[in-house]
Amino acid sequence: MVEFVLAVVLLSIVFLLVKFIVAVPGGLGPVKLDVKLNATSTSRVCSHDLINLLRATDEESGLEYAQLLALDSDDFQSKAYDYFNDSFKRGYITQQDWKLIVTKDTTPIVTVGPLEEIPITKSCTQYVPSLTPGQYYVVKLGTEY
Amino acid sequence: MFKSKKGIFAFAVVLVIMIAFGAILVGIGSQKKVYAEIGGKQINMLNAYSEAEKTHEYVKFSALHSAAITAQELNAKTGTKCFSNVNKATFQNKFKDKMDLYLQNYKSTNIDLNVSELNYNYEYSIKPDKITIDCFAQPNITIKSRKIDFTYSTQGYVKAELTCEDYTNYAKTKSFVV
Repeated sequence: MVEFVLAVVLLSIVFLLVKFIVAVPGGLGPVKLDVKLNATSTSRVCSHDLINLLRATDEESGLEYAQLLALDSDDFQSKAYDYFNDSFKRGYITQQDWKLIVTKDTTPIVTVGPLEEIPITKSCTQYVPSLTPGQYYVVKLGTEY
Repeated sequence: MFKSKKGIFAFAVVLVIMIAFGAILVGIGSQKKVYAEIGGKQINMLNAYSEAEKTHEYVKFSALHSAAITAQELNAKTGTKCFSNVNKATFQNKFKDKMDLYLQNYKSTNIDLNVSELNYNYEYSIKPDKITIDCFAQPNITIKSRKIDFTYSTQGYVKAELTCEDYTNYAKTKSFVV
């Protein structure tokens, strides 16, 4: 009788121990946590750089770059490349890969930057009014950083 | 093999304990994988703030262009007192017509966000050397997320200042003839 009771107690302890191990999330062993940042394709850094580019003042003309784009897109194209490289550096080694494309009615009018095309996963867009009321340019920037 | 019931019983207990410890060792040794997506709501909120900034910039530059073009139509010339012959009442009407064209159909640059229809009231100050327009969004600009239950509202105040120097800079470019 004593042996029987002892056996039941021992088995119960073992049973509870096994249940505990199964119930513990992740078990007692190492857990591989796979965390993904649930972000859209719009890059925060990209949005920040683009808005600051368009707000910046061109020293020669005294106009902000968004105004320069509307008034002289050729001048904008030549100056935007230098300004972006000078202002948004990411260090000597880090590649500063970017692409800026300006379209009007889906027609590209300005294309600047060393990348072949705008990365889908890291891009941002801003609208800039043109000199014709009701019309605007679509400025799209893509970055690899 | 077993000479008594006690022996069988003891063997069974030992066997169960060994199986249990084996299960524990397997549990320790195995690696579980947990997958989680984080930050979606936070990203949407930050993007809504950026969208408001972009909208403000669009309204500001629209107001500057509208002011410069309207001044040009009212025969403003370059120089230190370039707006001296600009009539305020005429300027207001022409300026508002242009702004209405700029603001109609403005939409969000982010497909996950919706920007409310833009409607502004304006206060004008026209001096010989400077035109100042205070633009007040009526009602506030509202940006709603299409993905999560989140709405961002901002007052939408923009100040556009066009000085004679700015007007001269417009006039220097090939697209703007004074």
